[in-house]
Amino acid sequence: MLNYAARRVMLLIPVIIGVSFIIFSIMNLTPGDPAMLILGEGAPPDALVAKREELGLNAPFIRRYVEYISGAVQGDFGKSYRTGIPVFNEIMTRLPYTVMLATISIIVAIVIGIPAGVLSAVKQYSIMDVSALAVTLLITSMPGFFLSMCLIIVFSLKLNWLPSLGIESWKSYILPGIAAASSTTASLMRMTRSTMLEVIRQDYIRTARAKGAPERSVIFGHALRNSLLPVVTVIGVNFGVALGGSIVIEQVFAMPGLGQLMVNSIRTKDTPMVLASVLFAAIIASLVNLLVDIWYCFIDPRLASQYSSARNAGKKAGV
Amino acid sequence: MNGARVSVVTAPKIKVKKKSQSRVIWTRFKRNKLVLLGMMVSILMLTAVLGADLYLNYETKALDQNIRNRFQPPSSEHWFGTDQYGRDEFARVIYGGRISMFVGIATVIVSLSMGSIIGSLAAYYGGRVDNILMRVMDVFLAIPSTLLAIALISALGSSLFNLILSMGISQIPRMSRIVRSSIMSIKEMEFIEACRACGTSDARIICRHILPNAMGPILVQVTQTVARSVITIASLSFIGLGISEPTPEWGSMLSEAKNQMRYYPHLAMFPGIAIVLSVMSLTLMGDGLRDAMDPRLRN
Repeated sequence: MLNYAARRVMLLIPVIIGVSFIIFSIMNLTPGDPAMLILGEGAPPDALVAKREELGLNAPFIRRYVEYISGAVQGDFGKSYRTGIPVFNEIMTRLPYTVMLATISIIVAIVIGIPAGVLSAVKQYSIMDVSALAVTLLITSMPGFFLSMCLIIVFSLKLNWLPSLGIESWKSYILPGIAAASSTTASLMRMTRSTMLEVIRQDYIRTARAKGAPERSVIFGHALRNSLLPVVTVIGVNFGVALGGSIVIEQVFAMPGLGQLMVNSIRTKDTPMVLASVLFAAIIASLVNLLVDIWYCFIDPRLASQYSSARNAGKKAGV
Repeated sequence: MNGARVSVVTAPKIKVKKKSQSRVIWTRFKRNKLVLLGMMVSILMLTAVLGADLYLNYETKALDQNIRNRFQPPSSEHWFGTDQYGRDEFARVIYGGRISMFVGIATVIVSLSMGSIIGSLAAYYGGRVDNILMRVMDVFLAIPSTLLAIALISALGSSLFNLILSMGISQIPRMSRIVRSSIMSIKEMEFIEACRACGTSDARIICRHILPNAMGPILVQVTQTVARSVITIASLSFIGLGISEPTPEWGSMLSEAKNQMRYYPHLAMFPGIAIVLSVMSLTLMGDGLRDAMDPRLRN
């Protein structure tokens, strides 16, 4: 088991290098001269040349990438073009809000989505099932920011129950939390329902019932455990989606998170800031995926051995 | 990764009924009334949006500002009321749909064409080609697609073309995976072997024999990608990275309506409902297609 976990962690390293390379190359496409951005439009040409040299912009692309990464490993992501503050510090003050929002969304999804999915599957075609399906269809079709606006209109503008902007207390997390959680909850619920429906029809469930196992243990012990596997994979993917979603939702609630930083930096063409914030979000998403993958083999030992041998074969052939 | 092994096991079970297959799928597809409703709504919206020029004037209704007429509530003259510049909200929602549908379909074309090339190369040649291509796609998949689109658009600058390009690119990894896995399940079948025995070229085998047969899951993915794209365009425009004023677009309309939310919530409702309706009908159609094509559910 530990062996498998260690192997997965090792596999993460090329992924992170690849991700950073892709994002670095994309951001490198940005038109405009960084030296000009820092010094302003009317800067003298020799100052521009000196600044370019100082920023290392004259070095070849690969060299700049390697330098960026070796700096990044030590927590040096460069300085903001606009404010001169180290990018890392700025990101660290923003990150907690975004991660908090994405985490709330995943936790709510697990706590509500999975049980609701089980219930829906067990009572298929009941009123509860049909209405749950209708609600999830509605929610998954709704962009997070539109749902946020609806929530603000109802709960802060009309009813005046909850704050709509900024972060003052724990109450400020309720509306953004609901907005961020709803789509992940809905997709997790649908996933749980469909895998549960497949599993419930299996022969071993009939066997379990036939041998007189109580319904509770049939559903939770036999069916749920086996149907959880694909659901767990979805959780990892959903965390990435939730991260992307919370970037937009932050805009509606004026939360000082990573998304706001990203959007403001894009507007002011502050490339180091954009680069680092995208990089951070992407790396967090892959870390969560890794955790989920490791968790995956804890729920199903049978699968773990099979999975790790398959990975191993792939690794030998490819990496 | 282990797709090849899986396909060897499952391939013999699938029976391709060439002539009746599309008919069988259609019969199963229309059995679900909700799915038919989704298709109807999609077609209705598509005609309303495509034929907009017949009953609306883009310049005078959707673009011309008329400050004296601002913030009108919905009435018989302005069905959805007017916005803060006195523009007809109904016309803007309809023309906004043009952008969403155009970008949504264009995104699919970009991601499907690139994804088919990558996916079919990987699946058809297997081995090292497969490994390299899929490793690269795995790395791309590790970046959440919204983030990837944001990064691309911030580097390229926001314009309609760049929006399509960045959204298309961010969907390529997912698309190539679907194409790869559906081709994997077909390429081991006997009729492909027969083609090869006849000396058919690789390109012809891929384009004429494998791709048409692998269409099912790809088609489902296509409807889902259009639905997702509609949401992504709106989100990007909402945070100011997509389509900008004065061009009507659902996301940027919502972004403007956000400032008027307290007094004129109807300005937020109409573009929002338009997004929900179009995404929902597309999702229903996609789900219906998936169920209709699922061989396990076939009776």
